[in-house]
Amino acid sequence: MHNASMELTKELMGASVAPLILAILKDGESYGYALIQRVRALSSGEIEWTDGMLYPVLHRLEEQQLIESYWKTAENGRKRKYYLMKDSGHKALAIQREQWRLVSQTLDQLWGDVTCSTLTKRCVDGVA
Amino acid sequence: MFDFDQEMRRWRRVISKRLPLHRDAVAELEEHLRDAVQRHVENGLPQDVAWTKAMDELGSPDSIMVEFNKLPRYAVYRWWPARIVMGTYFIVALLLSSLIIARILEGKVETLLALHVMSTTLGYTAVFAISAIAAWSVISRAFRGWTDAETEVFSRTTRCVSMTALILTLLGVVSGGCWVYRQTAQYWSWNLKEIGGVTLVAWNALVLVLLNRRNNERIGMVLGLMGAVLVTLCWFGPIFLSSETFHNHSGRSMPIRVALIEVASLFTLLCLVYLPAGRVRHRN
Repeated sequence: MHNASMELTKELMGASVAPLILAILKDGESYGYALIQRVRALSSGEIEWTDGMLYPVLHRLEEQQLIESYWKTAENGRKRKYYLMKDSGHKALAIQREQWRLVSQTLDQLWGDVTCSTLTKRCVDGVA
Repeated sequence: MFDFDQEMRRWRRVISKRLPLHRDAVAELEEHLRDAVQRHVENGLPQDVAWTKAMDELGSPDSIMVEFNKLPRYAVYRWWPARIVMGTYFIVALLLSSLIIARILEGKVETLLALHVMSTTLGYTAVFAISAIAAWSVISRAFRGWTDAETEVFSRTTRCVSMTALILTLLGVVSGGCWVYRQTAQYWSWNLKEIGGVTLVAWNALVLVLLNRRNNERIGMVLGLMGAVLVTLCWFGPIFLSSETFHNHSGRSMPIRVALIEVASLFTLLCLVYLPAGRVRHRN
């Protein structure tokens, strides 16, 4: 669903888009374009979404009652649709956060072990 | 000379066709596009280049449509009226198939005739199924209100069942013609049953064309309701007219009474179609 300059897989991007949106909305209401800019800024431009694909995800989250939306006239006089988190969204984010943390910790341990073994092997090789 | 407003109007026309039921999303995407172009222009790009870049970033209308169509609320299988009607239809189809297969195995009916009877019956019944869904939708819309999601799922269900009805009725007409050819050496004899079958093939094709052209719940509901009357005329009309009871005054009153009840119900439901959604509830 995205063009990722880091070549993140479609599956990984698909799985991460909802927690990313929820995590940004946790700090306050926002609208589609601003959400995309925020993700770009946070990832230093490494995560590049196809912009139009964000909106079906926002609508899905709204259907799931995790976020809600309303139209508001912005400072420039144009109407914009703002999204904000519902209580259920906060709960869902907390669960997602734990799940991602678990995956991240597990991978860190695994890749940490790989790094150590590689280093050890290098050290051993170096000593040898 | 690049005309931003003209390009925007053109894009809006295209995306509105792809997302006819998501006026909200179209407006949202348009705002997004305006924001993106403005940002690129502020960064020093000429407006035409900024437009092209923003369009690339946004993605094609087709790809956006595909993603919107994946939203679960538009899934036909989740819509309970479709579940009930289609579930009943499949049970009827299963029972009829078992009955006809049993009769073929017993040698009581020819395979071609059996195919004709089964496909015609199921094709005609499918039109009744659409009518049942339309009737439920009309009542629900008038009393409870109606959402874009329901329009989408109603339209999808109607299209899907109409396609089934079209294929089965066409198969029924063709197999019927072949069976008659075996008996009388001619495919077509202009009798009422044949005309009724072809009329329903044409009707189902018309329903599909109209629903594909304009995704409007009112059109779908009217077509669904009209289908019930048409299938009654095409299916039972020839049987009634050719039966002896037609010529018997006492026997004729019952079918006429049923027809009058059907027309009255249809008229009532058609009135409800043209009321604003949720109007009956608000009056209460």
